[in-house]
Amino acid sequence: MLEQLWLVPVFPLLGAVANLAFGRQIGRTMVSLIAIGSVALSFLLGVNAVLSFMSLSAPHGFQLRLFDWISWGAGSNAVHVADIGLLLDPLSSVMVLVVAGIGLLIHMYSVGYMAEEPGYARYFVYLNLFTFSMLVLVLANNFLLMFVGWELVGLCSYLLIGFWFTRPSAAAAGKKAFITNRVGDFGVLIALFLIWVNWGTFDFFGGPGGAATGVFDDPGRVLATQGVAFAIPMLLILGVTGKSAQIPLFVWLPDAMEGPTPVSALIHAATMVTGGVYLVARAHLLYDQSPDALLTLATIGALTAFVAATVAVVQTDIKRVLAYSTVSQLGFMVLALGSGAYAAAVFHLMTHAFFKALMFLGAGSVIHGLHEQQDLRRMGGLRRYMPVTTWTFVVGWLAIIGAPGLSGFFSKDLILARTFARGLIDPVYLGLYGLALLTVGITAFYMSRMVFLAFFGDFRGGVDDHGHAVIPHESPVSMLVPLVVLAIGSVIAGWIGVPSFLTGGTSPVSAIEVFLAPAVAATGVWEGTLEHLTEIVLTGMSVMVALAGASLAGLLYLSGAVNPVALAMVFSPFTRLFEARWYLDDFYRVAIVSNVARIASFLASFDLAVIGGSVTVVVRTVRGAGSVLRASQAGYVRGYAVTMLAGAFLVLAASWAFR
Amino acid sequence: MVPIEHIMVFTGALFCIGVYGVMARRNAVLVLMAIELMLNAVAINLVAFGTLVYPGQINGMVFAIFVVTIAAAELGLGLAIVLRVYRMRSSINVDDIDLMRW
Amino acid sequence: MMFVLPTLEWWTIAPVVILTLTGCLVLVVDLFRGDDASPEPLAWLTTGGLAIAIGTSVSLWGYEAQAAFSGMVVADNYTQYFTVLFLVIVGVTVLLSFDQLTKEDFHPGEFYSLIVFSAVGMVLMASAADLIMVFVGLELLSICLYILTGFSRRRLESEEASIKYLLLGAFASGFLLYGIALVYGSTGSTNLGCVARAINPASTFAMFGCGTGSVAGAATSGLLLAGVAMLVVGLGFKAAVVPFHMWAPDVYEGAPTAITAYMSVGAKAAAFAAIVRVFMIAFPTLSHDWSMILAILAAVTMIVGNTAAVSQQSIKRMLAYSSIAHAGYILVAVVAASQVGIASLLFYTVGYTVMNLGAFMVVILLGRRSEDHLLISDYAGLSRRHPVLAGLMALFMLSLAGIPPTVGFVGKFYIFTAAVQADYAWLAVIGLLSSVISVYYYLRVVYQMYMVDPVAGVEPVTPLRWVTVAAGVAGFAVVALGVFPHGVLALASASSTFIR
Repeated sequence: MLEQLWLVPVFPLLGAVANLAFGRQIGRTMVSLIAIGSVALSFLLGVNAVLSFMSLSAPHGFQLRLFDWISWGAGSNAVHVADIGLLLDPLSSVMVLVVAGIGLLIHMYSVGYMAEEPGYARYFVYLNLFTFSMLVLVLANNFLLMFVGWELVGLCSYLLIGFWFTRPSAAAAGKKAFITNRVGDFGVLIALFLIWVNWGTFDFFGGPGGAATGVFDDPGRVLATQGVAFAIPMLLILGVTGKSAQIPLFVWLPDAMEGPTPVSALIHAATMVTGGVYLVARAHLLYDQSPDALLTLATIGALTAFVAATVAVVQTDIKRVLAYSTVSQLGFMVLALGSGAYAAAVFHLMTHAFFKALMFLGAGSVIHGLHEQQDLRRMGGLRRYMPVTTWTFVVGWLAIIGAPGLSGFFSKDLILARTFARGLIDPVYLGLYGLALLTVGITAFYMSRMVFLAFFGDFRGGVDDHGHAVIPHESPVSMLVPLVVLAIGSVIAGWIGVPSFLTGGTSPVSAIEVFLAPAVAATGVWEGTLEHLTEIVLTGMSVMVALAGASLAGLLYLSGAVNPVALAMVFSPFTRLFEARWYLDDFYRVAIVSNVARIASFLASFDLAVIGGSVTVVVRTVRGAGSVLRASQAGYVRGYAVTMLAGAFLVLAASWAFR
Repeated sequence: MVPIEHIMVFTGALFCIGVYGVMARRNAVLVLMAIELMLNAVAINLVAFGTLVYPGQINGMVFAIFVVTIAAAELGLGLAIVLRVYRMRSSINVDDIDLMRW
Repeated sequence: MMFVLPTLEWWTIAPVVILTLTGCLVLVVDLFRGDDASPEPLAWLTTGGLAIAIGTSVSLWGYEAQAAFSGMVVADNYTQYFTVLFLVIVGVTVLLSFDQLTKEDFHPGEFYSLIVFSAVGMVLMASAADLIMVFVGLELLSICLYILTGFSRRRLESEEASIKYLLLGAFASGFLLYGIALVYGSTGSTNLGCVARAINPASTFAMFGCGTGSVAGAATSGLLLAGVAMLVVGLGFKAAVVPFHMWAPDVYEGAPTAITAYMSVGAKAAAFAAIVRVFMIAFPTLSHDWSMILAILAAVTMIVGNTAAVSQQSIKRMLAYSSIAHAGYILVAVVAASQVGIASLLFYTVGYTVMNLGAFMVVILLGRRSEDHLLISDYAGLSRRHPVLAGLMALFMLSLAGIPPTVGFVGKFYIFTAAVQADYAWLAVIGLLSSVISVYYYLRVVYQMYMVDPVAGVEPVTPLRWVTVAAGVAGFAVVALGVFPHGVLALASASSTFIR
């Protein structure tokens, strides 16, 4: 069944094309059937392919070269640039299952959520196109095709953030996401150029029909030029900070919540934003060459996790809390990457996809049930009105704060343990570990705050802005089923990564790490594993910290023992800092946007005067020449014949001259 | 035997007369006749090359026959079109045929 | 005198035979039809003949190149590549002309047989191994086109285009023939392979049926150079290369739109097919003589075509100048005079065919009421009246302008790369600069369609279903070939192996 791997991305593409062509004529039922059916087929084929792959012993994974994509020249000076080809290895297996599986659930959920929307077909075209693009991104067997997927998901993200394009804020958010991401893409593009110059191929791995030696078959080739060995990972990091919303480029993700909520769940929580994590995991052999790049990555991750978590503490919009939480969790993944624990990052990517998609969809259900109310201060006590949403949400909450036994517990502790282990070799990582541990506490705090404010206590949103009574209602079944499935996933997804001190195994690594090892095992100088006793102590610490954070939230928002407003006053410098998002947006506005604007206005005047002037001259010349030529075409046959004769004389003269 | 150079000068002159005719004549029929002069110059040239320069070859003669045949078809068609132009505009002055320009 | 009957390898020209029979059959069947009968059966008959001919041509793909009919024609991949392209173009023209045929009361029997015979001419031009064949093919194509141009009997413009085309075409034929005569005079042969051997005894083009015996002619001389220059004039006319282009705008504007579409892609491709054969086979060793001339002509063609297009108001005239400019781009590939250059020429010809035919399909869909919707300003607000057509038109315009990810971009990229490899970087620079000019007038159409309010009094038309489908297919192909050019490029490379 591996030969049919190419169908996995193609089905969603076909769905998008079909709905694009006929979406307006065939009615909503058919549109949903096509959209869901195509992703379902893609998911089933993906599962099948992964199962076939697991029964196959292929260290670098299975490569399927479909056809020659770009090549040039013939014979001896033929240059082969890239194939359209797919690569299935443990890493892409995990990604395919996550993308197609969660994508399928979110397609189903969208049927209920978007039922009243005009532009229903357009929405599903975008969503299918996104699924296709993301599958291309994770399945590509070379950098160039991967970059195509990378750009296409960015495009889909832009289209879906601005789905309600008549709303100015949505259009602005779409633009912000697109432009911010361009900065990162610039880095990736330069990195691709450097890869081409240094390796002469884009293929990840060599093989029959492609390059003899792929980039990862010989990752040390650039060692001769140390600068490049450092530059390529650093440039890719720029892409990571854009796509995966890390400092300094994370500002677009909270604004991206202007899009429909299922989109936030799929693209801006579960899949697309993990593209950067995937990129590093895929290119980890290049990172292993450069400890400096890894340290940069780890620092970015830890800082992002911490900063985003603190900002999440003071948000009042339920989706924004989740957005900052996503940024923070992505920070954890990037921290794991920077610690060389690529498997831990991918593991957390997977569990996070479950519980964060779950919570986003839960938030969507809440918003749906409250008639587009997103403010936590206008919620409360929803557990009485929407039990299914509440209890599935609670599962997601327990998973993210790391309640023992749920998925987040295993993946987050794996990251902390691997960072700590790295710290034993390089003490800087101990500091990052401390920051991450603190962030675990903050995460527990803001997540508990959100859950308590929304689902517990009394309902505070009886009347909406227009004075109409609001009676919360549970969402339709089509929206609840994905919630339940994702809740189950949020519980059990972590069980494939149970640490060995719990299973009693002798191996220092967990099952998921063993599975991913062929694709992402670090080849660097450290081993990064710990004694069982150390791991147990670390786990205990993180659980205690999380418990402390949750308890504080309970005191503030559940029992009312402490007045949150008073507490906020006490810590007002901090709360102001958090509310202002660490002044990052303002910093950009003052330091970059205004300076750029100043430079731009100078350039604009230069442009207008010099460039514009010369362009005007050129345009006038061209137009004038055009008019002259036009006038020379006087319509007289004899005139035309004279021109031809003159031309013939000139050709004759020239053939004498160049003889 | 006439030297080939003489024939080439002759055909060259004939060709030039034809070219001049195309430029100078306003009457469409005369233009067609001028074109016929050009083609005939070529035909004579081909025959002369075939017999004088490459005796024993028939390429030149065969080509000349092709030229004459195709010229006949082309000019026959040309006359038909000129006839239609005359029917629609009551004129066969090529300078009047300038509806389309610029 | 003993005559030895030459061997006749009929299979090498099987597509030509099938097409000729089809044309005759159409004429005969037409005799037995009533005056008011629907042209549909004849259209199907024509299409069927074309389909069989295409199938035959495809089945001839991949055989070793063989000269036939005493070195008159040659059947190789290059021949088949162009044959299939030409016949597909003719098929599309049959589809495009159907509506005009019924509305304007064209006589279908003549129309279809002429168009099939013109296809015979084009195929002969691509398969010619002898200058006589080049001439015969060119004249067959031209004579059919003179009549087809004047087929709109009720429109003065059509008849005017016809006579202009005929007078200037015959004039250019005179130059072509004079050139051939001079080449014959100095080399003693009209076979392309023999001409090459006469100029440089070391060159062997055995596949062109010249044999191995000695050739009669002499080496380079003034006579030969003058002949080559005359050939440039004659063939350049057909391809609409500046300064032999002046017929093109008038003829394109006056001809029925379907025929304009046909000429702009079919006749042009046929002219270049012959140019490549003649210059790459017969005069490769003279390339330092003619490649600079062709380079200058290419540069002038690109500049003049693009500049003159800027000030046009009529969409058909604009597309006429655009097709002149594209002749310049294609000529750049000839100048490169390498296998890579010819492969890129073959690729660009296909790409240009797809995008230009697509643009003409939209023109036909919108202009079929008495041909009056033909000003660029008539496209104002089209995106609101016909969003799909406007989208397709925008796509074709972007492709013609050479903007990625369309086939226009890939084709230009390959051609200019070939030029740079052949040390003609300055030509590539001129090409790029002049295509910057072209963006202006192509985007003007897009601007009209999307940014300008519709003018009053322009009624929406009901698009013809099959033409719309064809335009959609062309739009798909423009993008598909732009993203995945490799398939066609591989065919093009396999077709250009006769050049070393």
